[in-house]
Amino acid sequence: MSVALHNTRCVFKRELQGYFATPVAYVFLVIYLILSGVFTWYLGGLYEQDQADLTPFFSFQPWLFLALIPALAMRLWAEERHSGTIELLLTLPISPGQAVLGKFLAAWLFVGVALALTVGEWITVAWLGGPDHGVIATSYLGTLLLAGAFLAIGACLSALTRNQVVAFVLSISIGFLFILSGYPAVLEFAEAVLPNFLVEAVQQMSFLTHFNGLVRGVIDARDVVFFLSLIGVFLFANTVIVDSKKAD
Amino acid sequence: MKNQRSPWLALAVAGFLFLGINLFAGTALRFWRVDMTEQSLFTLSDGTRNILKRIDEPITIRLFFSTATAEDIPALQTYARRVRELLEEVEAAADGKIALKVIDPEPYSEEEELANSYGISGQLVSAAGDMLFFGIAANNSVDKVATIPSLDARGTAYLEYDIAKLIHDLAQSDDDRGRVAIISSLPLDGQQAMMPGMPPQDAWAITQVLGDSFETETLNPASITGPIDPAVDVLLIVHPKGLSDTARFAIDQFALGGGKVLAMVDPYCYFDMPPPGQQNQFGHNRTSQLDDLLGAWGVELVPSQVAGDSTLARPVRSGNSVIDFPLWMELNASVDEGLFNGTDTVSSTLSLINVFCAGEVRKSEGGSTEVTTLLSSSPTGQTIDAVNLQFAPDVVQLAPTLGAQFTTTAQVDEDGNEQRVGLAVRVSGPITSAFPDGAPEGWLGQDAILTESDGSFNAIVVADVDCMHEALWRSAQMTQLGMLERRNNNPVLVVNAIENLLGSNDLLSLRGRGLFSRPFEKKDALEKAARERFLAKDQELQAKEQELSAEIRSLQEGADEQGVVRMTMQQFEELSAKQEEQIEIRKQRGRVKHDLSKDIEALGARLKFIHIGLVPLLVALGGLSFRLRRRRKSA
Repeated sequence: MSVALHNTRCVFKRELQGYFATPVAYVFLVIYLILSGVFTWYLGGLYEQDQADLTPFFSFQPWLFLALIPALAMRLWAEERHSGTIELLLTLPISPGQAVLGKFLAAWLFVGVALALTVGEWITVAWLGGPDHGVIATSYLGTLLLAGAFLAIGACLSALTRNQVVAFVLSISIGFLFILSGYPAVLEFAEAVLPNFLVEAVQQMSFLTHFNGLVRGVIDARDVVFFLSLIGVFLFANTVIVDSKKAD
Repeated sequence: MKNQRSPWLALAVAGFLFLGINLFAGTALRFWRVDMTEQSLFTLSDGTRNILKRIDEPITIRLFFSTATAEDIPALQTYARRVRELLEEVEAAADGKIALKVIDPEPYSEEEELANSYGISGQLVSAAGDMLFFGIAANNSVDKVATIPSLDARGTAYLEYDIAKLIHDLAQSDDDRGRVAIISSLPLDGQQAMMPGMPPQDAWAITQVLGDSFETETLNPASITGPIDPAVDVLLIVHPKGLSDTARFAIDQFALGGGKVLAMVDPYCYFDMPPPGQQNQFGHNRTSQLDDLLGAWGVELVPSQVAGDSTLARPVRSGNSVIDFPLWMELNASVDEGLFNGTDTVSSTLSLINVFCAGEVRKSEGGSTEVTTLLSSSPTGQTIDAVNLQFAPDVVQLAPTLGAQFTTTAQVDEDGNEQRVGLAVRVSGPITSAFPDGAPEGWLGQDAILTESDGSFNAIVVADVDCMHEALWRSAQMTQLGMLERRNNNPVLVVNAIENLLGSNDLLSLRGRGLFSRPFEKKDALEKAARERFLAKDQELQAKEQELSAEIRSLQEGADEQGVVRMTMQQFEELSAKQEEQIEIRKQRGRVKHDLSKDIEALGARLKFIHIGLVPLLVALGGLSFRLRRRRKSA
């Protein structure tokens, strides 16, 4: 167990160092912060709405993540495969599961850092008025879980291909489906191919429904379980794919 | 070792496990949640639980919701989930006395007819003719029915109250509804046209609100010559004016006999309109007259003083500009928690109240009762003489001059303690009659006359009548998008007070939960300061301009029959200089007005720059220096 932990930590560390060794990380952070700011203050009209809450900030996060997180996740495995380092990685005494988890956690932490850098928005509304801090804290938790879900999907799909662009486009498409599941277009498609109880299940898969549940300030076990199990299942799929493609 | 199928099998199992976990969690973990909101907005409150305990006859609640129609509207879905979960929680907490049925009325179905039979009608939500049914009907085993015909996400703050009230209404028999008798000098029930060709006046919306909760009856003060029916639970006295001796005596005896009283009095009742034919419109008396009875109850409405507060001043339109009007106070709990007495159930759940030209109500000297303040101004509140309000037919026109009479400094007594103006009080304790000489002439009552109360007398006195009028049920806030209005607690104040006097505290504790407005106080302060500065500067410029016009007029005097003024060269130069100066001042006034929103816009621009420019820039610089340092280290 401790060996597994150690291995995961090694991959995690290597990956995290990798982020900050290249300009990619800073470009991502800067672009994320600028877009967040523009969405919150211009499109969301935080200052003009005159209410001390961060709704304008959080309501744009799913859409922002939909575009930015696949960009972050696409290189996780596709790059390793493209450059051939995946063989090197997997000849080390590390199981694919440990590698998958380590890489995912590093990326998640990195998104967490990006999110932490927006804490200025929180400070600003607290300075301007008296927001409900419980709601904001819960919203941050929801945003982090949402980011994890997008990341897990992106990482899994990145393992399918050695072309980063393909990984990127696939991730956006699947992420988009998850955002929109519950909408008629997706449901009609589901009705055609799935049995009835699964259609109902698909309806419950909407990122927005679960995310909105957290953003209103309630930590609901169902929302948390949804995001965590989604992360779990995609990481598992990721492991299976890495394992089966080892020989390719 | 591995065969080709196993990865796919593993993936399929994982997928089904995922769906299974979430389907299981969907039902099993329904109530596993932590409510992080400051006011626990999403947790069933004790008030609702108490109401549930009192159900005798089993209740069936039907929630009608058109699932298919709502599919395109995520916000509505979220709200529907909230409604459904709240009802499920109510069902779970009711110990089997409530059964919940969720019904999806599809077009042309029996369910749709059922919805219609309960008076829940669909709303057209799309051009394609999709109907949305979203309402609640509840009935009990003795076939009593109560409904909420349509639910609206904007009413989130009232959802739990609405549902609790629905159950409360079913759980109590009609005889349990409190009986409220109303004595008023205002046409609360509406009025026939006073003159041919004039429109009749509508009833005040408060009568509808009261009728929904209580059994109400209106007493004509002119015909009261005997005792008020002791079966009346609460007597609501609204803006009493010119009450006869016998009517006042009847109230006195009612109070001494243990009757409860809610008195709405006002030194200046704005909605007490002079009759259209009255000659002297300015002389119309708008003051409530109940001094002797209030005195007997141990309180006084400070005579001919009107309360205002620069901190709570609500913006009003005056000409082309918007100015703060301290006499129109907006009591907002998020501005100052001390405005609402947090320990009394009448006021503790209120957070947003508007009063207009209210008075000050306080314990009178030597009063025998206990007087508790429920609503008050902020420490900057003060009173001015009501005479000031008489100079215009509409007091709002006087806003600029009246506003200038209020300071922004906190009022303190001799010992340096902060002073607040009391706007509503609770009175309780023993009282004696306001008629020491016994019954007045014309009294037809047969019963023995009471001279002192048997037990404790209970009353609530509110020093504003205008707050009952629906025109004050919306609060306004100036934003850059314009005047933003939202529903406030005003109707709730009256219903709360009556319900509290009736003793049903449970419903009361639910009302107005989550009605918090959280304005940007910093921005408001800037706005207020800017407006004050603007007003001072504008008045200064206006005075100067008037002075100049007078001087110009005096220079132009002495024109002959053709309107030609003869003047010396020097006079002419003086005249043109003054005219130029006048134009310059007018320009300045325009500029001052333009500068009004400068500070606010500047702050907004600064904040936007910080978040969109500065923070990303710092991150970029941080990254750059980090990389440079590393490169140098490795070199």
